[in-house]
Amino acid sequence: MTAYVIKRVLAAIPVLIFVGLVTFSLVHIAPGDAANIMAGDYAGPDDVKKLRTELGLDKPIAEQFVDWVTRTLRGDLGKSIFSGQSVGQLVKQRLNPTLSLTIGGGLLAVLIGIPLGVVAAWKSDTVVDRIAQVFAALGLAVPGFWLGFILLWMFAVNFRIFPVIGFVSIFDDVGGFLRSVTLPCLLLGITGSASLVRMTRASMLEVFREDFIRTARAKGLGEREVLFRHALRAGAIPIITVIGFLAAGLLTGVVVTETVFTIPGVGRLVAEAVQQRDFPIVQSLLMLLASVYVAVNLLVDIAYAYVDPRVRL
Amino acid sequence: MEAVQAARVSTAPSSAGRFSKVLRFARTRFTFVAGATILVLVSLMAIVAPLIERYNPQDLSPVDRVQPPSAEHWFGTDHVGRDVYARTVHGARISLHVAASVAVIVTITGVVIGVVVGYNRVADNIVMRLLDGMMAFPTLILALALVATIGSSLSNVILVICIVDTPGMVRVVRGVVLSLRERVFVDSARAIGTPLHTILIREIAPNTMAPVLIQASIYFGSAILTESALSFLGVGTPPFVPSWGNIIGQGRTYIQVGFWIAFFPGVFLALTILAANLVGDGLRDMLDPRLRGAR
Repeated sequence: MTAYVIKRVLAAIPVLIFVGLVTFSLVHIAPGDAANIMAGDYAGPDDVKKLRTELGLDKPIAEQFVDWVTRTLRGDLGKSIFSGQSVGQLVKQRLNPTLSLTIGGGLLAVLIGIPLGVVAAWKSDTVVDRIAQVFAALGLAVPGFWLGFILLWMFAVNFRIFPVIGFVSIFDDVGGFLRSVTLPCLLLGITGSASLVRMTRASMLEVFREDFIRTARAKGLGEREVLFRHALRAGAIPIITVIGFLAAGLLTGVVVTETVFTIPGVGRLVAEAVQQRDFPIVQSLLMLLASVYVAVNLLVDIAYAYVDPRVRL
Repeated sequence: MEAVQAARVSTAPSSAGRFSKVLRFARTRFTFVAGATILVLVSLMAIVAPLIERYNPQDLSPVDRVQPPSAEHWFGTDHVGRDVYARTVHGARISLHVAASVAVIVTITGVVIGVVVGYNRVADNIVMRLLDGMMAFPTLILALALVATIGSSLSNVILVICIVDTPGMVRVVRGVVLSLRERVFVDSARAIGTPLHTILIREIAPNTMAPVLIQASIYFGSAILTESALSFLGVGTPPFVPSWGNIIGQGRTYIQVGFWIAFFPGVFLALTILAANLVGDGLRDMLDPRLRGAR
């Protein structure tokens, strides 16, 4: 197991180096002069020049890269060209809402998606299965930002149960916190669970076709026992992999969700930085989110190998 | 004359047989047929958009701003008095344009790169490492960063979606090619002295058709979704272009006074993506027997 973990961690390093290369190149693949774009339409030549020196864009590219790598490894992620705040500061300020939403939304997605997928496979070709499949098909097709808009319109504008915008920290007011995160978490939960339903159902269907399930039924076990004592145990293993997909869904979902519900989190920061073409922020956030994504997938792989020894070979 | 008559009689049962075959196909593949029908209808709507728009989607009429749906304006008007129905109908053009372009471009680049790396160890090692790296990014985040870099325009949006989707297509094609090159018919082609490029074009490429078609249909739907998400976030197609994502993004601010501005384009958007996904699922069921029943 230790050997496997080391192997996987080592395999993640070239991926991260590549991620860094892509992230670094972003500024340089911009058509025209990056400093010019960032300075905006109303900047004079002096402003552009100043910004260029500030960002080190006038140095040779190799030197810039080395600078960038050493700074990043030290944890200095650069600062916004608009507010002048460092990325670390900005992310720290905005981490609370984003963590609340991803944890809440992720839990909800798992709680809806996995049981629904298991039941759909267990009762395959029944009404329950059809409902689960329609739910999954709709969840994959309906864009999150539009579904969020509908939720907001129904529960915040019409029934006035939840606030239309904003986020309340759990440390300030628990009731207000719950009301401010319910709709965003519901949105992340619904959109996240759609693919979970599909993948869980598919992997459970495979388990139900296995010989040991037939044996269990043949020796006279009830359906309930077949499901809980045999099928679920074997089926739980492949389901772990869907958590990786869920992580990708949450990372992108949070950008859209925080925009729809006007929540000042990291996702909103991504959207704003991209709109303003605030390159240092875009770069650091891309690097940060991609690293989180790589780390989650690494953990999923290791967890998988832990429960299924065959993978380690 | 008699012969013609006889021919008619004899064709009658077979055409009836064909008809019942179509019926049976429609029943067993209901979701596929439904999806294809919706896609055809949306495409028709996009083609005849100028004829059925009733208003110019760009015409401002500040006097009529934020009007609820009426006989005059079927889907109401937006914050500057533009007709939401006209904009929604027109939006189909942008979505389908993006989706079709992405599906075609990704298919071509994916097949070319996939076939080459499937046959060349050196290229395989380099290209697959690069693509693994690309896939380490969450798609929408990478798309956002790329659009921020190269600037937002319709063609840049298409380019960016192609960049984030191509690695997946290459993987699919490469996998198929790796298994194909061990097959007997490829060996025999090689044995009779067929040059490599002919083998690639005549034997390998055509056999990647089914999985490529399935993958392309997935990208067709996801391209619509990505374009609309980018536009919704304000960095996709330029704001004046009536794409569904833009209309929803601009309309969402008027949630208190005019929910119809964002509501109607969203219905069409969701329906179109659903239809594309249903067609994709149907294709997978029909073309990939291994997955049949697993769905």
